[in-house]
Amino acid sequence: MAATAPTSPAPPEPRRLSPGRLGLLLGGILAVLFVYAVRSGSTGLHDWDTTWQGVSSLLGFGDPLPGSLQTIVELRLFRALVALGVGAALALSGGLLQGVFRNDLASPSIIGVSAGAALGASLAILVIGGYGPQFFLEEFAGVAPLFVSAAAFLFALGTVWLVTRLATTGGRISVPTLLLTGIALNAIISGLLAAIQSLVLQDYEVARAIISWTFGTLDDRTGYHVALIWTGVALSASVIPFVSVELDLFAGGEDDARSLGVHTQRTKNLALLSAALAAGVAVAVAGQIAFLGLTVPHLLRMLVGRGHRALLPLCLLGGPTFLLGADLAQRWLLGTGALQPGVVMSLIGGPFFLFLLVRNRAKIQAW
Amino acid sequence: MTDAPDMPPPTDSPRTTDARAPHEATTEATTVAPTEVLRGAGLSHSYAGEVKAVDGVDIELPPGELLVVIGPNGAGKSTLLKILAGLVTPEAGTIELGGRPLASLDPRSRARSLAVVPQSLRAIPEVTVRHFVLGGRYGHLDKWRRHGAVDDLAVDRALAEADVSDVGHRLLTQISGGQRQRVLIARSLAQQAATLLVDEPTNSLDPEHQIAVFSLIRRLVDKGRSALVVTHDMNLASQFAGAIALMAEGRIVASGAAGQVLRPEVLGPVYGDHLRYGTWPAPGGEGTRPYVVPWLE
Repeated sequence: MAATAPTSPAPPEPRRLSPGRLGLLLGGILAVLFVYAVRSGSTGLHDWDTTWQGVSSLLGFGDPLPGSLQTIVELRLFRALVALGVGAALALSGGLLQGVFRNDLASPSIIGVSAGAALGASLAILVIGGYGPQFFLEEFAGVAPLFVSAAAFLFALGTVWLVTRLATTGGRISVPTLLLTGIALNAIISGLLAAIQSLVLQDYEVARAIISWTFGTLDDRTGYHVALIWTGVALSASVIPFVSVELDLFAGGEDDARSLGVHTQRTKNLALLSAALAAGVAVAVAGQIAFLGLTVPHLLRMLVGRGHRALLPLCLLGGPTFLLGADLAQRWLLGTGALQPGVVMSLIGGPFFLFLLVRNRAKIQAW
Repeated sequence: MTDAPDMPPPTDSPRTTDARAPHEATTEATTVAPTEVLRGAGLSHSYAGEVKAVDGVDIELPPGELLVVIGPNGAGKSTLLKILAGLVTPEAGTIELGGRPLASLDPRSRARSLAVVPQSLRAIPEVTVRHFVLGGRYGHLDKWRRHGAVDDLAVDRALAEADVSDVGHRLLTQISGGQRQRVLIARSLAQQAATLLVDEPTNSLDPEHQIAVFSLIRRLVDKGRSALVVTHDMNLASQFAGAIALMAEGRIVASGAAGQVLRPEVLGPVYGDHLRYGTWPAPGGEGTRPYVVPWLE
């Protein structure tokens, strides 16, 4: 028997599609969707040269387009780039959470992480809007977007910690308790968000900024949002090599993984921190977009199997494809700006969640 | 069933590369870590401050020993096994493996020396048997967690040794309980650990599979490993164990050869009166071994 260089691990289960091929396919679809997203809209950019000139100018090469065309190109480019980043972040967050909790129904929106991030962002906007101590206003007004993002991340992290803590008994995470805790946290945070919105209802600017988080929006994004979301995605994705095989071994339970040599606490910490960061920055730049983190990893798992070494990187392609595709489809069907992406995702993801519940009824009854 | 070769010199560090000569890969895939004494002293543990599950236990598993721990429900057998495996931190006491405190070993090097065969899994992963057994190689992977030829060889060998090569391509969810138990043992063999801790391996198996599982464990011990097996089955313990430890209320109340422990005056105070005792020729035909059956009169 000859020894060879390290090889890819044997597939964990008979695959329907190879991860490499699916990655290429998703990459191709994503490229087409991205170009279409930049070029389509109520004001058509009818030729390639115009679009390219606008992009070149944004990158510091060449003159800007005349009139409002340059602004239109930039807004569309930023919107598309933010959509890619948000899709990647939410899908990765869902993939990580489902791996840690060993449950396909876990996702940032269902266990309350997205809501926690939205609460953090809303409180930060409230503070910057003049409702907090003067100290905060003086210190953070200049770095308002960063402050909002940091608050979203910290609250997302706090929610992950709280939900994990409440769902753990005797060192084990109870999945029913986890999901019920998520329901309770979502309800509590919804109430708090409603209270905050009521408080600032007369203050148009602050109220508008806060309410936009609730719907989840990709409108009026800037280069800052692009930089923020992609930094978050890069940082979160950097843990993939260090948790993928470990999360595969979590499938038989934490004790089993530990007996095989997995540093389970470190794996959980890394994965949950990364999931919270990804969900936090996604909410910070685009508000709450529910169910994407549930749907995408699940669909990918159906295509390539349960191995996280393939699943997590594919989330980085599958999430953007799903979000951008759904956004473009609804704009094409209903006209530009008809629905916010958060609303679209709820309309798609909600029924999908119900489908999963019905499909897994026997398994769920055994929890 | 494949026979294990003579044990080559032990390796005590994980492989850092697979770019090596074929004979080196084969050697590495078949090398079992050196057998070391597993010793627990003064072990005590209670759950949520309630009655002590394990209460001042001293236990030693020497190299080449098959030690079977028996005892009624709630005696603390499984908790003791988890403590010895490092999965539960005891409230008191120390555990040493080869003279080193178990807690000082990092999880991956511990997994290369000490393998746990659980009674069952919390969830049965929807993966192929082969991929599941590959999980036993985790402690041997490089820092990028890549599998290589050495790992494939070790998995092939573990599947053959546990007599489950024929189901390697099937999903773990689609094989029988007896096969699954042997797959769990195969995964522990892929770890190439010298010490096995086996928790109730014959629960819900038919008699033929019970004997097959214990025969496999006995064979592994005869080839140089040591094993601590927790079970309710005193008759399997009688046939296969080198020594038996009887636990009751968190303590080891008797230990020794089967003939010393499986006696009315030892078992009676622990299990009560509904046991009948006899002897039967030992496997291999040398002498007799005691048997014990529950019988209501």
